Amino acid sequence: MKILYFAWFAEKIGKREEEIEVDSSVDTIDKLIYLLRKQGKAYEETFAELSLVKVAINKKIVEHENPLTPQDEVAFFPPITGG
Amino acid sequence: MTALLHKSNFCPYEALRSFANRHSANNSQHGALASFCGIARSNSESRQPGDGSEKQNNEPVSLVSLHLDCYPAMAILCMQEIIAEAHKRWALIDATIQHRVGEIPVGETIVLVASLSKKRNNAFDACRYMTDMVKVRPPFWKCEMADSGQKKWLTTTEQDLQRAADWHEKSE
Repeated sequence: MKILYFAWFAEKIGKREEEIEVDSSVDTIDKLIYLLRKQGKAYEETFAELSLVKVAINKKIVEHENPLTPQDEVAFFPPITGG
Repeated sequence: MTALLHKSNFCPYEALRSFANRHSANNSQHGALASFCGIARSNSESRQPGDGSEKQNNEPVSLVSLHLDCYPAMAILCMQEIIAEAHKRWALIDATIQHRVGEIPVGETIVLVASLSKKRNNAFDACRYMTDMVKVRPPFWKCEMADSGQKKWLTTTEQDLQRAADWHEKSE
């Protein structure tokens, strides 16, 4: 699964994108966040305050309960500031 | 309709000329061209940090630049959507939103919004609508870079959110 990070999420995690292997049980954003939190301290801190975690699947903003598939492009970012 | 992201400095006057010239062969229809150009300011905004960190001293500081992070593919889609909405609400001949991304030194252009129509009210209102939507909807994240070396990720202002919400109330 392709995962993108933006703004201070990318700074904290130290990368703007990564490919991760997920099994079929990771079928919602909630479950993906739970999995990512276990990747280390930087991830834990980034995903600590869930109200600040916004997400888009295939460029559409969705809620944390949204289903996902391994083919999706998932982007995590803080609340949008706008232009 | 054109939605563009600029990775380096762009001249808003040239961009506006090129936008208007696209229709020059058919200019008997043009009665109004309205535009808005946003420029990077040197004074910081009194906003709380957007990264969830503790409240900071919110005294204005002097800035050298603004860093604008962006999700490019989604930003283009979002700006196209805003232009399409403006076309639905007002009788426009054409409209454009052009946004700078990356490091934007103070004094350089951040955004250009323009609308072309037969009548001035349509051009003004559409330009205002698109500008208000660009302030809150596309996936952009602003970070102020102070001359002291400090950086601060920003949040959206309540005022900007209210301006965008007001348009939705008007359409209901």
